[in-house]
Amino acid sequence: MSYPPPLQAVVDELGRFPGVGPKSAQRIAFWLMRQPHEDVSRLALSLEDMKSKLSFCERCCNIAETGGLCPICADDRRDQTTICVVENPPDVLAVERSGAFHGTYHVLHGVLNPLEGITPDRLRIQELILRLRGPVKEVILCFNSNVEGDATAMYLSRLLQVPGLVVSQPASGLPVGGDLEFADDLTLGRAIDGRRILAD
Amino acid sequence: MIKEIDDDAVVLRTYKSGESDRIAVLWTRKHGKVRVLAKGIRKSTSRLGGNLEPLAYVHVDLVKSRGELYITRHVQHRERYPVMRSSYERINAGYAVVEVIDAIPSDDVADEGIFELLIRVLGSIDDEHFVPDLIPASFFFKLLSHDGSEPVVDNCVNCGSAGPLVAFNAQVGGTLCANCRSGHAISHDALVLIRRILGGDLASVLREQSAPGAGEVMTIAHDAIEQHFGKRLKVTRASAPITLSSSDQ
Repeated sequence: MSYPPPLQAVVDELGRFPGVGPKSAQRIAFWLMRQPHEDVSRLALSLEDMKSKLSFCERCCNIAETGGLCPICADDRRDQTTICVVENPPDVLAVERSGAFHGTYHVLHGVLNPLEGITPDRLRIQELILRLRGPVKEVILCFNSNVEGDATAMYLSRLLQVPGLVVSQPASGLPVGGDLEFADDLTLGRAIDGRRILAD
Repeated sequence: MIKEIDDDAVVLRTYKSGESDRIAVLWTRKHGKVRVLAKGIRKSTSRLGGNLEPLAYVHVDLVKSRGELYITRHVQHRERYPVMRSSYERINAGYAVVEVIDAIPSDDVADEGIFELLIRVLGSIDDEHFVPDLIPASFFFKLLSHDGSEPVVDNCVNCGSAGPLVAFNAQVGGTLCANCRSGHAISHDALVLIRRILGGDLASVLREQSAPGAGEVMTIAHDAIEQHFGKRLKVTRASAPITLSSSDQ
């Protein structure tokens, strides 16, 4: 037995969300059905607004209002000579939360993953290369510390061999508050490789 | 019923799952291909961290109760493959290898021979004395041999004549003479290279920079392995060129 078509349509649509299986889709759909009409309308309107009013920043490919720059690219106080390249828009927020970076960003919208068919032409690499015509002095390759992130960093570091341009990568090591004895050996190895001299 | 696995394994691929979990597909020495749920592995505080990454050779302690997935209890590196992980071309070669292993339809069916072959090929990719270009192709031929489908390269697979051999057809399983020709045209250099790979001269082949006929051999090996598994592979035959045009600089 299947649900009435309007309900089944919602279950089917929710089931397409990442990480949402048929059971979860069904649970969310029933929850939505129990909500007041105005709450569901507000959700529908916000989804519609998101699609119609948002696009990608013309400069950094981060999320921005359609046809314009994102707030970071539009901010004159940001250091335009440093670009932090990240995989996805949420990574911009993660780096911003650190408060340690004051330059601009570039969002690739993915990392190289041949197993998933993600090759360089499917990433926003060409847009990054065009930005190098500006006053850029340093590009920081800030990806997840995994095989795909490392492969993308290696690919870009060779692609971006331009005179006068520094290409860097954040240090890799132990999380603050983590116990040394519980660190995995790869992370600990990298932390030791990238150690900092405190006294000479 | 609770089922436990304490075994060596190679991580073939991983998928994100939920908020901070990851599902990993492993090829184990004694249990074949198994799927594993690593809870919380994407959190920076996870003890599993970088241990369960594609192309890692690890020792795993897994448990399965309900459901299809094993749960990780402990994972430890056997080999880190630092040379492979520091080269884009070598990582791509590794990806080509694990994609083919993942295509083997054998959940929970062990094949220690394939495991040993996999460990050897990953070791070769990690060996800086070996050029990585021909390693996946060599591995594909070795895997075909292991499965009892070694291509015939000493005579015409159709009529048995000694040659001259001018073509290779993965569908019929080897080289063909001028009268029987079908499939890819094959040069003498490529034919010699395949014979050396299959005939015990692999180490010296892998030491050669741009061996004559290497491009042809890669194409032929790729076609042969796709034909064998009846599946189109995603990993590209050659790495994307890494160049910046002068107008971009």
